[in-house]
This record gives sequence, structure tokens and C-alpha cells, in this order.
Amino acid sequence: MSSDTPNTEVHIASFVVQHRGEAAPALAAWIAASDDMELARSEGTRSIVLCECADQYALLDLIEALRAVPGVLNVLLVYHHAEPGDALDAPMPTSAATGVAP
Amino acid sequence: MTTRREFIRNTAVTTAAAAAGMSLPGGAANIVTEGDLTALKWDKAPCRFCGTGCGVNVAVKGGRVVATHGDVHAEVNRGINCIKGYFLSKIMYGSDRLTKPLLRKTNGVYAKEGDFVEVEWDEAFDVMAAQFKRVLKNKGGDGIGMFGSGQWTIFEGYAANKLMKAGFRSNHIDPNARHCMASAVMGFMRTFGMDEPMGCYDDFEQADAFVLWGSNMAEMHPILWTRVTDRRLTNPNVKVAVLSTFEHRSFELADIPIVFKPQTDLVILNYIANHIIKSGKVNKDFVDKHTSFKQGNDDIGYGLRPEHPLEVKAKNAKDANGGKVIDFDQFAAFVAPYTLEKTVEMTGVEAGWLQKLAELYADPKIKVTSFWTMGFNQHTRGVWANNMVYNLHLLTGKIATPGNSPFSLTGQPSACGTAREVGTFSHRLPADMLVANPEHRKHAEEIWKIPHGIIKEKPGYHAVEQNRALKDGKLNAYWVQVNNNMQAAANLREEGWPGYRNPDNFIVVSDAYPTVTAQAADLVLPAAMWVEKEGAYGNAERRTQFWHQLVSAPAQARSDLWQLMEFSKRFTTDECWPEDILAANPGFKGKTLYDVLFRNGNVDKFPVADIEKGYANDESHHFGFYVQKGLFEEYAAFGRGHGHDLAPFDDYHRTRGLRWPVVNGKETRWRYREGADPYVKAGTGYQFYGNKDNRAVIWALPYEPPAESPDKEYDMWLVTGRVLEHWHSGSMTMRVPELYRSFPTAVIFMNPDDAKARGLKRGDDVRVVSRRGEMRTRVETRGRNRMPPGVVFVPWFDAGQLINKVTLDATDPISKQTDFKKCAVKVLGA
Repeated sequence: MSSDTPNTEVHIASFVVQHRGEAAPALAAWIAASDDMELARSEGTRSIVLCECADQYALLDLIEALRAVPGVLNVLLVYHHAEPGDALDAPMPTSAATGVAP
Repeated sequence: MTTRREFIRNTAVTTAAAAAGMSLPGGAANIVTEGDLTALKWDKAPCRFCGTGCGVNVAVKGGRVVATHGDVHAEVNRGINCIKGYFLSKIMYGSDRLTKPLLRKTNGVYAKEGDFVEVEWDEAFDVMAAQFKRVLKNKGGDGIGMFGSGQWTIFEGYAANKLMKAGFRSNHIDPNARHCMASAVMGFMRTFGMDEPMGCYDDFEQADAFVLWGSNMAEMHPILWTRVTDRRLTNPNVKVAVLSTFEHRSFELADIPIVFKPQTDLVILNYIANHIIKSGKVNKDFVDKHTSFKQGNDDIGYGLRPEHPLEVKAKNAKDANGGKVIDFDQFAAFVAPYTLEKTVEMTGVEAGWLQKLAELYADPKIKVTSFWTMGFNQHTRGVWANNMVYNLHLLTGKIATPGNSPFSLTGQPSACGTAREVGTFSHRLPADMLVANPEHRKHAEEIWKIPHGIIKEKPGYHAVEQNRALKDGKLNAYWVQVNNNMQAAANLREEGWPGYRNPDNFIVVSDAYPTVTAQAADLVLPAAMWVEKEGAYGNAERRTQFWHQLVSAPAQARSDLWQLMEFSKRFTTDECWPEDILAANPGFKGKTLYDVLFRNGNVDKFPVADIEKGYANDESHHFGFYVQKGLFEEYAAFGRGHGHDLAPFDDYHRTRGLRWPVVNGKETRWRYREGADPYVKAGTGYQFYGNKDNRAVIWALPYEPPAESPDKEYDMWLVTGRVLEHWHSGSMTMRVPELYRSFPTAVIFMNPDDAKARGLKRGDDVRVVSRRGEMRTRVETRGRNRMPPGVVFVPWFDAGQLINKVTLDATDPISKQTDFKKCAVKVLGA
């Protein structure tokens, strides 16, 4: 139904994962086995997963795959940023430039 | 040196940690703010989809919404969004967005059987006005109807209600909330005399037990489910019971999983009431002081056409809402036959699960929150089911205190705020008032500054009746806004489609996209969406939320509010109002409906200079006054001082919503309880002040069978509903590439053994056939829904697979809401 433009962007996203406490080790192992994800934090029944992948569809596929891990009850996409891969390697400015009028 | 990649990855983790309420990782908080991110202009708005009312931050760049994320300052969702909410920024930019009016024409003029041709607004309104005037001349306002929705902003619904009930003198206006919340409304009215929940989302963090009655919150209310999940996972003593006619994702959290036979939820409800009484767990003090008892009329029919055999033989079809006063002992005797044994036999549920469920309610130490949505409401005994769950909370006094909350969830963003509170139902006026009540009509006429006698007494056609009246040629001019009823309403092949294409009828559809309904219309008006206009929604916990216009609508798309007000300029009172009323009130003679409805000194009271600086407001600049503020302040006059108090208009732009009643600047989290609700008098404890005696009604109601059940030929139950990725008919979410790809087409979820018995396997093409029609889909035997034998589930979001060709237009006779959860079908290989 909808057309897509060719995508050369890198997608960086974070998920909050709600899971049973006893599922944490299996979830961690499952994430460690993935090239696109890393476990950023884990506290009790909540974990934060950082994801970097090639397109937004892969992102949703990862959400669905995480959702299918036994003991995982909910996967919530919280942050999502996309931009061309080469721009990501540029250094950040050192001053605190903002878009807010002085 | 920090690269952009590191910065963005840190930001992603920090944002998630904040949303999850976890401590921030060291170092992330002091990261520099990077230029092109802050070049975005961020604002707040409530989400466009369900009734949860999540707050989102909306980023605008170059006149376009480019991003949305959960608002960390929003109490409802605390920075989290579901997947639909996350992709909100894309719903306005589908490639087939409507940007000009489309009129069916042959040889350059309007023709019912013509093809759609782009026209200018003037021509569109000229033709539309001529058609409406033709009908006015022949039938008066009774030939004109309107179908709106819980997606109207409060201002739009209010303006539509005025235009129809006061302008055209037609009560044939109804919202699609009739398909969604009408049973909840009548449940509230019958038990409490006043609509909407007494509790709020703050109950979730206080409850010891959650009971989902037919609701699949994991998919349909995912953000609220996040809060329930957190409560359950961090408090091992908390219990979750999930009841449904099939297993779905919410069962993954269930401590008490219950799959029951369709319609037998009524049996379970009475069994629990009986268990509470038999086990001596009635809160006698509460019951004595704060409740009364009634026995409802039984054998009330199924809301089918009056000549249908089921209606003819129903004893109380004409007095479905009636009942008689009884006492506690009579109530106890009424539910006594609903024993555990009988309940096991009728429901197919194991005794152990039923007992555990009943004890959640009976045990005085357990604070219980009950949830329900369409499982109860879309039910031929939906009002009864609502009344019966209140019975459980009232018998035990588990109500209106933190964690003790019978909580009716809603499906649309402003089902409460617009459809219910504004009173866009065919029988209602704002603030729970009724057209049938002469005092209420008089009060409304005074607030609206129109002559007495303008508002008609008789309730108009409700949603299902509207389709029947279109088919029967009783309604001839019909305007649909913000909904897709051709796809949404039951039995579309026999009722909906013939009505829209009846040659006597002129059908207008205002929408942003060419929906199934728009394609069945004669005139399509392109509509502005969401943050393309200033708006207000009211969510399921009585929270009224505002947003500013943040971008412009494309090309000639205009808001529904602009359409309603601009169209009203084309009619005079002489064309719409009776001569005798005008003769007695000569000052109104010759005025346009626009003059008397919107230039009445209320609606045009506030100048455009009152609009907050930096925000556009296309309607106000067009009409020359702050339209939304004037409409809101006039509307708020209905409820202030009557338990529906709304705050001053400007307050809502400064907050993340306020829960009414808002008295002396303070919102109300729990109604009806002393100390929490300013309307409850000191020393009373509780007052259910919607009823004159301040008591809530406990209703004695029986189990009765559904309108249609499987038989030898049509041997399976059909249940329809939604999936996480798509909202309602998919007119927005199917245009978001990510959501479309996630769930591109409907399927029929089926038990593997049922499939095998029919020679079918996963992925096979099948026909789903009922007595009314058929549709084609594919078999799914795995995935998120696990069907018991004999029950199939088909979601209705897919315009290419119209399951409502198959469904039955049986309704609850009290609420007039359709039962989309039960009809008989057969599944055949294609």
C-alpha cells in the first residue's frame, strides 16, 4: 500500500523489554548472539536493548523476535534515529550548540 | 572525541532508561546537544489512536511532522509509546492522501452512478446544500443524518451536535462509539446514573489483582498493559486473571487463565456474585449504606429488525431497559442457581480456576481492578455484563478506592471526551443529558441561545438503525465524518452498502484517505488530521487533553470543524425551523444557521488574539474569532457545577491533561468517595450522586443465549477484533510502511485440529461463509492467537478482506451496540 524510498541509512534504536526475572539470562544470551543488538542495562524485570541495523523493517523484525523469547512479555520501542552511515562517524561539536534562540 | 554514532547510541540508552524509570548510565547526561536535533520544533499532543490517551512529543521541521516519541512528562505513558504511537508521524503522509473534494459526475454534473471528479469547495458545498435542501423540503430534518466518531475533537463533535440537533432539527446523529462504548455508557447509567469510570490509571500501581474480562490489553492497550505488567512483575503477590474465548498475548502474564464458551461470561459473573454471598464475604455495611437492588427485564431480544422472528418472540423487546426494585435476599436467591457445578458445565472452564477467580473478588484483603472493552461491550447482553461486573465490586465495597476499580477501557481517542461527554449519541445532549427530557432540552436551548422547542424530543436513529434507514429510504441526506463505517459496521452486504447506494440518498464522507466508506459515497470531502488543527480529546480516565495546530493540512484539505461551520452558512432558519417558532421569535427569522449557532455571542466571544503566540489556527483565522475556545467554553457551561466540571480553556494547553471534575483548579482521581471527590458530602463515606438516592444499583440479570450460535451447517463461532499493529479499519496504520509490512493482510486464526478436519493447513486460501455473506482469507494456525476448537478469529483492519460482509447486525437491545464477537460461520477451502 505504501511505497518506500531506497534506504542507505543506519537505524539506531533503543527498546525497553519487560520480562520475567528468571528470563533475564536467556534474554541476555539471545541478545549476545545477535550482531545488531546489545544489552545496555538490565535491572530485575526490565532491560534496555540498544539496536543498530540497516533499515526500519529490520528494527521491527528484531522487536518481534525479542517478543518471541520465552519469558519476554513486552518490547517497547522508545528511541529511534536514522541517518546516513558515513555521517555517523563525524565528530560531535565541542560547544553546546542549540537550536534555541539565545 | 565523541562521534555522532556514540552520541546517538548514548541518547538512545538514556532515553530508554528514563522511560523505564531506571537509573541513568554515568556520563550520558552531560552530552552536548547537537544542532540538527534541536532545530526541530517540539510540542506536545495526545496520541491519535486508542482511548489510552498517551502523551507524545511531536517534532516539526519545514512544516512537516518528522518525528514523534513518548512524552516523559505525560502521566499516562511516562515516555513510552506503543508501536502505532511510535509511527504517528507517518499517518498524515500516505501517498493517497485526499487533498481536493471529489464528486460523482456524469457529463459534468452530479450523478449518483457517475465517477469521482475533483471539484472546488464551492461546487462541492453547492451540490451538497442543494441535496440537503431537497431532503429538508420533503421530510424536514428527519431525512438528514450524520455519523461521526470518538475521533472527532471535542470542538468538532460539539459543533456537529449543534448543527444537527439545533440547526437541522435532526437527532439522527450518532458516533461510531456506538459500536465501541455504548454498552459501557448504559452500564454506567443504569448502575451509577452517571457515565464514565470512578477510578483512574493510578489504580494500576495500587491493585493486588487484575481481571481482564475479554480484553486483550497486551495488543489493544499496550501502554496500560506495560503498567499492569510492571505491577505484576515487581510484586509477586499480585495476580492477573485473563478471561477470553480464545488464548491471546495477554495470557502470557496470566496467573489465572480462563477460556470460556462464548456468551458464558454472564454465567461466570453470576457465579462469582453467588460465591461472594455464599461464602459470607458481602461487605454488608457498604451494601446497606450505598447500594440498592433491581431485577432487570429479561427476554429482551437482540436488536435486530423488528420483524425478525427473534424480536417478535422476545417478551420485553420493547422495554429492554426496564426492571423492578428488589432487595438483597431476592438478589441472593436470583444468583443462587449459578453454582460452581452449573458454571463449569456451561462455560467449559475448570472448577479450580473459577474458584481462584471468585476468591480474588471475595477476599476482602485483595484490591481488585477489573478491565474490559469490546468483549463485554460488543455483546448482545453487553449492558448486563457491565452491570454484573459492577455488582461484584459493589457487593464487596471494592470501588472508588485506590486499586479497587471496575475500569471500562475505551477504544477511541475521544470516545469519552467527544462521543460521551459532548453527547453526540442520538439520544443525548452534553453532560449526560437526554433529548427525551424536557428540562434537559430547555437547558440546552438556553445555553445555545436558541428558542424553546427547537430540539426534538424523540431520540434519533442509532448507528445500526441509520444503515437500515438509509436502505429503507427514510434517511436521504447523510454526512459521515472521521470514520470508516462501511468497513466497520456489521452485515455490510445486506444493510450498509445498499443504504449508501440507494438512488434516493446523497452520501457525503469527510476523510483524509479514500477509505471503503469514501468510495461508497457520492461526495468526498478532504479532511485535516490530528495536529493539522487545534484539538482536544478526552481519554478513558476522564482526562481532557489539548493540542495546538502544528502543521498545515495539505492543499485543500480542511478540518471537520471548518467543514461543519462553513456548510452551516448555506442554510437559513426559515429553511430548517418551524414557522410557529420563528413567528414567536422573530429575531431569529432569516438568519443563517452559522449566525444562530456559531455567532451567538458565546462561540464568537474570544478574539484570535487569544491564540497562543507561535501557533497557527486555520479555522479561527478563517472565521475571525477563536473558534475552539468559544465552542469549549460554551460546552463547559453544561457540566460546571453538575459533576462534569472542566477547567478554563487555557489551562489545558499548559498541562498534560486534567481529569474531570476539575473543581477549584484540582482534578479528581477517584469519584464518589469522601475526601477524593469534592461532590461527596462530609460524613457520608460514599455518594453515588448520579442517582437521586446516592446509591449504586446492583442488578439481578440472568444468562441468556446469543442471537446466533453454531449449528450443523454453520459450525464455528466467529470472533472479530484487532491486532497490535493496526488501529481499527487500518485507514491510517495501513499507510505506515513499517506497520503495513508487520501485518499486511488479515488472516483467519484457527485451531490446527479444526483446520485438519476440513482438509486445510496453515496458509491455505479459504472462504469464511455465514448466512449473510462470505469473504476470502488465509488460514493461520500459529502465532499470537491460539484458538480453541470451534472458534475462529478474523481481524477487521484489512480493506481487502471485509469480514463485516459475514457478521450479524444483532445488537444489545439496551445500548444498541453490535455484537461483533459472536456469529456462526463455516470455513471452506477456496
